[in-house]
Amino acid sequence: MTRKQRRLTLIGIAGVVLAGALGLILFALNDQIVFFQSPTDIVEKGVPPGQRIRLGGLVEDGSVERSGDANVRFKVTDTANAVTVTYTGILPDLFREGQGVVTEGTVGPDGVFVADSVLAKHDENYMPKEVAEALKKQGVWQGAQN
Amino acid sequence: MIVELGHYALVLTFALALVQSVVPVWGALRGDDRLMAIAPPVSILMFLLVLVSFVALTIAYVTSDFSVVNVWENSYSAKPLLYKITGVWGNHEGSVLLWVLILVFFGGLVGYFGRNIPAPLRATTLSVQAWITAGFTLFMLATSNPFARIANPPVEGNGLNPILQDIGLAVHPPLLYVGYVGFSITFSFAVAALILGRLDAAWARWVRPWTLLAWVFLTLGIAMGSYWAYYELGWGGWWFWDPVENASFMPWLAGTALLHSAIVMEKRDALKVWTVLLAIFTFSLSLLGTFLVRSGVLTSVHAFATDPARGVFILVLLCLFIGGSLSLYAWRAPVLKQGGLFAPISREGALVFNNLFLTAAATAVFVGTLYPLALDIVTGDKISVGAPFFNLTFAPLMVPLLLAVPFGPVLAWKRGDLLAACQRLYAAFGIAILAVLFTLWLWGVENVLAPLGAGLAVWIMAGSVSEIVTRVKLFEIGPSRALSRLWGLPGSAWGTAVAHFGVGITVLGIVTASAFQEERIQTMHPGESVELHHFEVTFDGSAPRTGPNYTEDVGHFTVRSGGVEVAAMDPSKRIYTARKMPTTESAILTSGLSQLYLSLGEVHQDGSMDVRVYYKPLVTLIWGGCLIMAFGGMLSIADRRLRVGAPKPAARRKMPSAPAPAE
Amino acid sequence: MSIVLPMTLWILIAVMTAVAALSILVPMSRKRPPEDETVGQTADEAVYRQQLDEVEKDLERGLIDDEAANAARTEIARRLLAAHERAEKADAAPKASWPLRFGQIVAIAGLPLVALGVYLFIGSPDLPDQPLAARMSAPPQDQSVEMLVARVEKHLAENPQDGQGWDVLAPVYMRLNKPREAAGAYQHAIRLLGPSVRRMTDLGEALTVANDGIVSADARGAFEQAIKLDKTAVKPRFFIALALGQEGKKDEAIAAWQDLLKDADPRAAWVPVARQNLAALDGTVPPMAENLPGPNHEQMAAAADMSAADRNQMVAGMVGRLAERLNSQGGTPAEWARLIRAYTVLGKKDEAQAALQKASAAYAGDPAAMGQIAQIAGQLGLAAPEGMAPPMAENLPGPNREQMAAAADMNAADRNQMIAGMVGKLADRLNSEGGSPAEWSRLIRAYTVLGKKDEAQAAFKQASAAYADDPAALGQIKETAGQLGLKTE
Repeated sequence: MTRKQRRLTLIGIAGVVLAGALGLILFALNDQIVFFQSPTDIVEKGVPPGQRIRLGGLVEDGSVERSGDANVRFKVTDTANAVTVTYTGILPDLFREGQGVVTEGTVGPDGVFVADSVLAKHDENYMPKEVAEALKKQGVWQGAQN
Repeated sequence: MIVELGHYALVLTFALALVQSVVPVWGALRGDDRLMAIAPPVSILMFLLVLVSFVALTIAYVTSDFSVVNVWENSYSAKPLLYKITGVWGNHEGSVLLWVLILVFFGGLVGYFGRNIPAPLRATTLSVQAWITAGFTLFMLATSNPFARIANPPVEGNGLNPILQDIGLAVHPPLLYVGYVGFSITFSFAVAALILGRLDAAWARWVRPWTLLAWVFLTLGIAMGSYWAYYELGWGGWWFWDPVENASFMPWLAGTALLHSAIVMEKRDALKVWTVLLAIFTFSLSLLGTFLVRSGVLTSVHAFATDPARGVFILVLLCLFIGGSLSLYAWRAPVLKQGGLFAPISREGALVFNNLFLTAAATAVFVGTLYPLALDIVTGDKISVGAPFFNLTFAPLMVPLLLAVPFGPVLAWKRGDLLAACQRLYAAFGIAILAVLFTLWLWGVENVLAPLGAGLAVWIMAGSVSEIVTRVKLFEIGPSRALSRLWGLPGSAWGTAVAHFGVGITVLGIVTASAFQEERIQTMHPGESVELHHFEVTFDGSAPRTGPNYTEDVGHFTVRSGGVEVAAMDPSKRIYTARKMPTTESAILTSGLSQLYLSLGEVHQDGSMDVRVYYKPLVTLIWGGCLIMAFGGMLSIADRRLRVGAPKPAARRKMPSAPAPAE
Repeated sequence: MSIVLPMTLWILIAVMTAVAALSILVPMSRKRPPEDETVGQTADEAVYRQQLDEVEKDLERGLIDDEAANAARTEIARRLLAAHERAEKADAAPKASWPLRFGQIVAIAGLPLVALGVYLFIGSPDLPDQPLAARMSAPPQDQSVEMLVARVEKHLAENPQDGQGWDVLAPVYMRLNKPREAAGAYQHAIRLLGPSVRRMTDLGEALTVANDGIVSADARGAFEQAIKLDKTAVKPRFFIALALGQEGKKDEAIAAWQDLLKDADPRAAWVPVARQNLAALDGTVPPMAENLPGPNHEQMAAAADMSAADRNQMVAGMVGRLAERLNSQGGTPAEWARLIRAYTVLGKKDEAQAALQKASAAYAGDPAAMGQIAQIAGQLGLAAPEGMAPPMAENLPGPNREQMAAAADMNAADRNQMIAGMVGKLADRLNSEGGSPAEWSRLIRAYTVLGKKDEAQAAFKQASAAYADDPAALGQIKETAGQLGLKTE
């Protein structure tokens, strides 16, 4: 092979690998990213069953019901609307009624949100940023913390 | 007075950095030795001055001098001494000071040990390092001064956050910083080479030990951070693809690529332009990581907007260094002469392959980390890019790379013989197949990917062992002579084999711990048991306990194996009283290389508890493999050949073909 | 100390700057040995030679074959040659000297100028280190009250069973306007030392102040217990009367006030307040009544006076330390005078006398100082020590009651001064940055306490303007003003 051919081969292979990687990234971005929605978004716009979303808001006071083996059912609200969430597993340390929470999962056909993860951050003052903004939209929360 | 001395030392460092930024590089361009000569002493002095600053701040922390705003905001007189000290870098200002300390430390190292480097290159490198130093000291003095004072200090400090009182969290930032700030010196070497227009095989050799050093620390820092998250967060996961983690992982991927391409440059004088670009990218990613973590954009894009001074300043520095170096690159790279030729199938080819996949993987991580930020800024849409994205992009890119690992070292330079290489790897391949079959037999066929993954891991390990075996000709010359050859192998050969072996170990840990993990989550009443793998975990009951600054509910568990009591485990749910902040303290039982992991959830009125129990087979290998990788890097640094070049007059006159003393 | 430290600092700064300048000047001026001039070039030659050695070794080990070894050798030899040529070409042409000059000027002038300029702009060279331990152990008169409190708090955190400590701390909390903490401290003291009239009364007062002047059930319980211990105690009865008034039990309140005033010393500071209250309830004010000025500010002043006992306790602690220091290290005449006066105020006449003796012994040869001390002694009605003319001693009436009261009053004046300072700051801040309704109320109340009725009225006006469109806040402010007897329209 001549010098030129060698170089072309190399560049060709590199191009193929990079194109492959780029394709993977784009495919994954299309498919694997999860949008954040507030209860109002879900109630008003609706979400196709089975699509993964993040639902954030406040845990409604008095809505938490527990049944055996770490099953829990609660409502997430942005004060305008509320969505019922079910979750099996251990709740984070800072999960409390009236506090901010972000859950990830899918909306079932019955409109109940089935979460497979529940997040609350490790600081009592911390309000998940998406929740804070969603609540601000509802004009509820005016905390100075970010 | 000590505090003010530290403050002045920092200001003086800034002034010295300004001088250092100009004079040595000017001397190098004019060929004036006298101007270049100031670089080493000034670089060492800058290190000493920043050290004075750092010690002064530490003293202020230890003595609870609340007249220093930074101490008042972040410390507390009743804190244990250890956490007062680690508190120095547990906050924004202190951690930037640590960052700068490491920056000038590397400059000082080059100043002190770099006698084998030609004077112009060394002077220019230290000048470039001083540009970074000047930028960051100015950042500190202008926006985040750790030495700001209060004339009438309050009686008590504000720093109560208990989650920062953890030894793992305290130690891992310095390690991580040594890692990614260490790449600054590689960056400076690269920019210096571009300025001087001289880039050759010798350059690669001079840069290699510094790159290795940074890489070793970064590897250790990432491993430690991962272990901390594993035991402290109570979720049983060891990697979350969290932006802060990614911020340190991207420079690691680029740095690993850099290590490999520098080998090609050193041996064959090829891939020069690419290597320089990688050196620039690696440090740029480190800077980006610093920006992401320090500016607060990660917590919220809007946090950046509420305190813009810091964020904008770092952003400007970031653009200046990355943009400046890339422009310089675009301008000067065409000047560089092309080096040696090689066929696609060759050692060089294998290393290019490695570089391709590592950079592609780094790109995937980069996109996954920054895309949500970009989308939030541009459209306001909130998305999260989580583990699924990374699993889909990162893993497929890693598989071919890992498959190729054993081939690299056995291929010849310039033009390799793939068939011969395969022949040398027959044994390793056989062992890998056996491993696949063994795994299938052990766990069954329900998850086909897992045995293949285990086989891949064993393939890498066996490959690196077989490389050493081939090198010493174990089967040709017999064990006793092979042993002496073993001793004579150069450090870098050992380093390669050991580091690759470590990669295999980590992969094995990742595969088994994720595919064969067993998990139970359930509400347990006292007396109830849970069976997991070969363990029987019995909940004996819970009791409250009071610690120095917290109260906790401790669950007592007895672990039995085959009816025999093996251990007692006491995970707890802790509440730090000062801030009413709850944390989960998991309990971990290491048995062999595997671990049993227990953490508590809700504590119910009737004395029952939500319990999460994991059995994680071979999970310790994940971090063990990282330690082995780092050890491999150390072996490579210890290679005496890297320190060559400080010419002794006698040695220099030797004939080129004269045998060197035994290694 | 405050003069010595900056001096040392400046010297060290000068040393550091000098070292920095030298680190530039010395390497510039040093003559390089001729061999070193080519180090740069030979360094890469050394690398290539080493690489040639490695090729030989690899060949020897059988890791590469002859063909590969030859190819590698040629390649490296080519690089070696190139490096060698470069080394030959590197000329040792004489260099111009102006860059060197420039470098030297930068080192001598530019560096110190930049460093000192920046430092003077952002540094605080006159602030000494203030480690907590040193601040804690500094002599008490050099410490702020907050620091002293922190010291006691630390001590109590380590020895929570020290009842005396709580007993000392509680009144200080009152003085610092932390009634809640004061109440807690009194409760500890009572638990550990048992109830006494004073402690129960003060606990009740702390609870009352914490409750914005309303006598709560808890506070009332405390006062009642105090009365149980001493039926004649004035202060708890005063508060009980107040409580009855607040509860709207008019007749009982009137009876209580009358009972209280029946055997009162007409000169006591609280008497006018009591009368005022009684008048407000439409009760018959006993005969000694005279026209009383302004409404509620006396009430406050009275309360302040009543806690004089608490203050004495704290003063006693400070006095003890002062005495210790004066005895061991001596002091100025003014300090001795302060000590003597303090003893007198505390009613420790013997100690005062002894201190007077010591002071006059210390300043026996200094007529001016003697005069100063003698004057104090005379004012306080102490027996003049030997060799000292009692200036007006013979004119003084028997017991020193009035003087004591005067001295106590003077202290109250001092305190008012201090409060006035704080109030000034608060007012500044509220005027420039605004504040919460509670802060405005605090300011208005403070002015009233200080007797600055006009200012109080002005502050009220400003506050109402600031919250003109917030009825809730406005209500709160008006309520405060109303309580204090200000015009609210």
